[in-house]
Amino acid sequence: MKRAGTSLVEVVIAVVILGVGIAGVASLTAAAARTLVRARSLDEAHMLLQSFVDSAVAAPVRGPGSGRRVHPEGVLDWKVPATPGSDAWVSFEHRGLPVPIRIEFVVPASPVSPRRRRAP
Amino acid sequence: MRRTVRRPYGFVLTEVIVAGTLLLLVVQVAWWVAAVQSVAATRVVAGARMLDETRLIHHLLSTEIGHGESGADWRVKARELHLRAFRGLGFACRTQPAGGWGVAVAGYRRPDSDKDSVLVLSDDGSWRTSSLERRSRRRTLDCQELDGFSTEIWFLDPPRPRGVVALYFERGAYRFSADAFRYRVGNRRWQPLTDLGIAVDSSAVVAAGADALEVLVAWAGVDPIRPSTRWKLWARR
Repeated sequence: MKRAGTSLVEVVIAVVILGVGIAGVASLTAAAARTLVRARSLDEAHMLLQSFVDSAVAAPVRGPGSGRRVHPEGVLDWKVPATPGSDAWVSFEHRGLPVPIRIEFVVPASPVSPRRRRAP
Repeated sequence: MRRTVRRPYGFVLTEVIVAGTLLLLVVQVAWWVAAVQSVAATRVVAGARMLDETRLIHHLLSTEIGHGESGADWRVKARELHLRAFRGLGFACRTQPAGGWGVAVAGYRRPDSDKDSVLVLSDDGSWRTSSLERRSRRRTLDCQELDGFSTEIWFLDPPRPRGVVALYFERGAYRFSADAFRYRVGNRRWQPLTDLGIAVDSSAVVAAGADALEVLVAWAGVDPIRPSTRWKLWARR
């Protein structure tokens, strides 16, 4: 005769369902943490690449114009020809990003030079 | 004679003990997981806010420095960045009114004669500053039509009749102080641009060479997710 109430099997099933729910929430939090780490990596890459391009625009290129530099966050490669108007690129391979980010730009015709202006 | 009768309903004591133990176990685990999740979620949210505000600081300083020239437009003094904070520009109209200087104007905000000055590029290639004494809107002036630009008459002191382009600016300063990144216009009070939580002793704005600026932003606390970011900014103009 079937008795009323909760059987052991039902309790086990309830525990499994609850466990799956908890694991789901934990996985969501872990995904959010991974996204945050990736966002930080993207920010670092953005800051470094913008700084490099701005410095290339602000200062004339000396030397061979290409190279590689190892940073704590990753590896920076670049090729910036000294010829004005030529194509240049810079690439950054961040440790926290699956693929390197590459920016292509044109070497300015003349570097930014001090203007005849009085100080404030 | 007494007979033993099995109950058709209810629980066996063993079942109650097992179910109760499991329930307590589940509640305990759920409670612990909820606490851990709460801490983790709080860290993620706090980390995202810090990243967002670091991004804001980078964007602000990059824009301000990129629009200026080291020495003339900005300089670092006592860990403070003092600068001409450019807020917009104006192009000289092809026809000029009898009084004042007709310009097509656009910017982050409208010019304000109470706090703005003007840096004027003349047709001889020189940049000179004037104060913006007053301004008025003039729709009837014959001025080139540019999307987002409005026509105004500016009264400058001293006047710049040979002006071609003008940048209007307010004098401002940025610094890290009292747990936040702050800005002030002129000599007014320092206003926070970020939430509190920045470790101001470890954060700094320093000059890096002639044309660059180095910024270090560190957040208070020992949480490994809290970012400490250093970057370099260059004048692009």
